[in-house]
Amino acid sequence: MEQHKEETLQGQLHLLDPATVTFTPTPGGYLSMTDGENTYPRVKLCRALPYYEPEKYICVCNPEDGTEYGMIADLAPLPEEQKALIRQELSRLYFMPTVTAIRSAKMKMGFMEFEVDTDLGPRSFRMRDPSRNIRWLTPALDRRVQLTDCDGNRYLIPDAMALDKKSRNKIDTYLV
Amino acid sequence: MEHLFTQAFDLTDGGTPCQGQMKLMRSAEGDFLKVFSEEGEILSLPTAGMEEILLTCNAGCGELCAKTAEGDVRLCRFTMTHLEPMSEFVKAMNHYLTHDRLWQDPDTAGLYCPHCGARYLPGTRICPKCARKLSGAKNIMKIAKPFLPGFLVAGLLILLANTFSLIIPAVNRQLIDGYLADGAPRDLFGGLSPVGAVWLLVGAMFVCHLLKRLITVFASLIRNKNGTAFVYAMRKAVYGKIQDISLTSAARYTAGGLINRVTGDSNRIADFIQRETVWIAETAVLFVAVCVYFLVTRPLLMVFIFLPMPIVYVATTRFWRLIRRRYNKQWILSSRANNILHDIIKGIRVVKVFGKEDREVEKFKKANKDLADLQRKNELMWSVLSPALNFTVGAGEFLLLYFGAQAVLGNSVIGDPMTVGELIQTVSYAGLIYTPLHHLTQMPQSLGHAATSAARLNEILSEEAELTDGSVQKPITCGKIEFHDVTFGYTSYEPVLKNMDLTVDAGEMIGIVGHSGAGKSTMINLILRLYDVNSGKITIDGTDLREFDKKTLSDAIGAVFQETFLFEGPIYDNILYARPDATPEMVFRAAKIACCHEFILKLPEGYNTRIGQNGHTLSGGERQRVAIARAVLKDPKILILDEATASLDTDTEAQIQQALQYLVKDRTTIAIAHRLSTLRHADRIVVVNKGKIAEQGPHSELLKQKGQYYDLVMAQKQTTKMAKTEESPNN
Repeated sequence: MEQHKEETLQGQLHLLDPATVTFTPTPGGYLSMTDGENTYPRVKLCRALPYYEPEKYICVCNPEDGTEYGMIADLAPLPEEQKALIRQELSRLYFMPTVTAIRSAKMKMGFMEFEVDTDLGPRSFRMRDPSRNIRWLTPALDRRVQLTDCDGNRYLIPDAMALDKKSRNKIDTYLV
Repeated sequence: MEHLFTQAFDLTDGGTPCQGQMKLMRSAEGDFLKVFSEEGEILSLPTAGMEEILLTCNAGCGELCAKTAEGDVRLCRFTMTHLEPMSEFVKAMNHYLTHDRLWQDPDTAGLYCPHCGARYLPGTRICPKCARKLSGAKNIMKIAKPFLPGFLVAGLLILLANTFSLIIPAVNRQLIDGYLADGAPRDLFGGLSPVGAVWLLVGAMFVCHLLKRLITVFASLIRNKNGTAFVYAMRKAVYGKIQDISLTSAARYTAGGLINRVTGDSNRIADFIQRETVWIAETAVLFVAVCVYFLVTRPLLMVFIFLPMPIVYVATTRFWRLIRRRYNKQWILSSRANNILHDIIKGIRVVKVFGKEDREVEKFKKANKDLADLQRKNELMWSVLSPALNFTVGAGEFLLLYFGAQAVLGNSVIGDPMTVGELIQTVSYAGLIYTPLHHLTQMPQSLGHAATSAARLNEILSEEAELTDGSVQKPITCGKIEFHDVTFGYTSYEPVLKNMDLTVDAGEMIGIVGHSGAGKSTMINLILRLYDVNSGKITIDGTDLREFDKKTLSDAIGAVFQETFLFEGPIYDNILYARPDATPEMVFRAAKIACCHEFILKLPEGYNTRIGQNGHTLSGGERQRVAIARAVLKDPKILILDEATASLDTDTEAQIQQALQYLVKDRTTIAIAHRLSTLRHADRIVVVNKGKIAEQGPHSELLKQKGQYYDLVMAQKQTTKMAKTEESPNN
């Protein structure tokens, strides 16, 4: 731990060694981590760049206060079952149904009311200020579009240009 | 098994939608928290071993975790739609776990409509089910009432003007059929010569035209005068209401939203009433009159008039939808370009320091090019489509013209043969219907916009003050402040203060210290009653804050914050704001105490120097001193200093501290400071940590205890020492 603090002060990243780090599921449904002789009974995982690099830069933190135990630079060198465990745990932190078609999008009483088809079935939601809440997720990389509703739920359009024309016309105004 | 409490959740562990339930159940073996999926029970935990339920908010979803003796257990996942009820559930559960009894008061009243149980539109008190679109008009009609006669007069005048529109083609027909056409009788006016008759008819048409225009101008004048007065009245009402509603209600709206309502929404409604209502009257009157004319004279012609209507309607709605979308996009692009410009100009220092001028120019260029491209496309579309539309609209007239001409020539399929004059009259009348048609197609939209604006204004106008002001007007004479078991959080799932108890005696000066985010400023927000506590109570001189009249409370409390807000205007007025009846001598004395008297006198215009936009710019420390002067002038019973001297150098701070010594003498003072030396005169130091009071006592006693305060003092001593050793080589 002392060494860890020293690293933080020097601005170094504490990268976890894929060879020594092991994650094990806990009975409560979370993950524990052993790194060499250190054991952490429950760790919290999160992506540093969830949209740019979902499979890289995974942070392992203390669930209580958020202090970082270390970072997994890349999932690739980890064994398959470890990767699966980590991916499963990460998937619980992000919920973003994929929109396959937009049935309707109408302004009503200052809110845009959406009815969409998603990979998880039809959904309807309300959105405040569409010019802020319909946006390119990673404009430099691809054509993903994120919709955020007034509760804070997110919806993903994997490729705005691949949407059918009727659907796209409904949000085209805001895709600038 | 007795069933105590149920809470629904909507995501499975794997992230698919579900309808799950959590149930708190009581049995002979004790209480259990059970989790059910659609298939059945998936988890059962005895509450005996449970310490706490925690809610975590993730990206687009959240989860509940139970802390038990055997480690953490994930209870369920849910989408953000369930966040509010979930946090209420967590509150209730944790209350149950600590107090061993259920809490029967889940506070969801602010979220759901009391009439139908549906959820309000977020951030508002509008129920989407109950709010009939036009019900919003009720409060607005109240404001509009005095202006209705004016609008009525304007409407009647427009009606009159339109009668002339109808008369002119009729006179024209007489002119053509009576005098101009082949074989015309030329004896309509008995003995009058044909030349005289033509003079008379043309003159009549001229007078009709003139009267029509004059009346229209007059009607517009009345309408505009009325309209502006109406907007003014409406803005006044909304603005007054905004000042009246308490801060929690105000906090539900964003500043931009409120400004929009005062200006945008009220304008839109007035606009609608001014323009659209007149249009409706005009169009409807013309439409009905022309239809009646055709029905009486040539019912068959109606068919030809209405035949192209569906096409025209479809074409115009399509056209308008397309245009609207395109222009909306253009508007968004142009506002983006403006935003970029605004950002760059505001952040010019950053841009220059990082040497990114080229990049910013490139960014702006691109945004501008996008805008220009779209603008060009839109103009092109407009210039092609607009004539096309007009052609479609006009096409109906050709149909009419063709069959009318046939009738004139004797091959009538529309009843009796027609005269040339009648044909021309018919075509003119048809034009009167077609022209406003495109406007009619826009009607639903503008009606919708106006209705939305009306609903939004109505929401504010019917806002009931949420922090109800009490009636106690007894002035605060001592200033004893007590926190009784206070719990409070800005969001319902994250309490900032937890079961806090604190007594500040009258005339005492206490210093609050603690890490950032510990809840220091929150305590002050509660004393100022910017928010109400979630549970427990705060009293001043034994009376609950909520029972005080608003003015009594604000008279008794003065506050200076780190972020000082000064209004645009002279420095003098800014200080005087606290007490408009103060004499200049009092203002100068207050300024002296706050150490700003001298620097103000150095300014060429002295106390009359204007600050704010287009005025003199004060430094952070100067602004803070003016704000302190303002609080000093108010001479309150309770003085609150939230990092009030943080932007000042230590010497000035010490000077103000000394001056404040006199000021704080017989008043209660609560000061927050990160720089601990600021608090050395405090009677008592309160250390706040994670929403709770960690230690309290006089400076010396806390130092002896060697607790958190000791650590803080030592940490700061080290930094000062460091600063001193770094400085000394230079000296």
